[in-house]
Amino acid sequence: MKTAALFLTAALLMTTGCAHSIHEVHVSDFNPGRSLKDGRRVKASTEQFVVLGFTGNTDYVDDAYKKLMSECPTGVITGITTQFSTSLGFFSWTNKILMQGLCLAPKG
Amino acid sequence: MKKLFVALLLVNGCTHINSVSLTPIPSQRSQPVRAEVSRTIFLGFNFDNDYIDPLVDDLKRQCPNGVVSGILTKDQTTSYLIVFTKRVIATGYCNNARSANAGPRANRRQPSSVESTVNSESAMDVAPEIN
Repeated sequence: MKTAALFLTAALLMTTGCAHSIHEVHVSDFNPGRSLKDGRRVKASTEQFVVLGFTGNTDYVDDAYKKLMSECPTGVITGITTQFSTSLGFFSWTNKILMQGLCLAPKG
Repeated sequence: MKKLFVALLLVNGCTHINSVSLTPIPSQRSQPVRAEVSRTIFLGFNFDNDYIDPLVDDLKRQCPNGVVSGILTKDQTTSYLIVFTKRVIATGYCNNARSANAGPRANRRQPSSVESTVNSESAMDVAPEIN
């Protein structure tokens, strides 16, 4: 019974993580100033799984940047919120970047 | 095993992000610009953050007559046991936008008009419109 409880706790910690913390939220300006109805929301998120802190790069941030741009290839992306958070696991954690913005199509 | 652990730390380091920010992204993305500054700190002894300052100059140097927008700024630290390398990387796009010098919006208020002190909008407050 004890072993089962231990296993269950470990499994819960490993699969769901025990804490989710947001480190930073950044909001860019809205430029050009157009109505929210003129654009559509675009979103990009990437993750990096880290075990015991061993990781040699931060490429996942660049990947989110590229993904966001690919969501709006010909327009301006404005009003961008950038969220950097971490979900903690068992001797490991997942770094997460979420970028959301408003895609404004070029004026016709 | 211990040696392998130390070797991994020394060679790879452990890199983590301190902050990320992103400014509005232009539609024209044909001219990317990139600037990077870094400082290696031993045992945490660091007496100023002046190493950041050349970052803006470097970006502007790559786009002398245009607007740099869509700037992704990454502030990251790589730890090698007792040595840290702090690095700030800024990437963006240079556009020779016609509105780089604020355009007509900056002049829409007449000097003689009555303005609220709270909501006053000077030419300096009006950001150049990105394209």
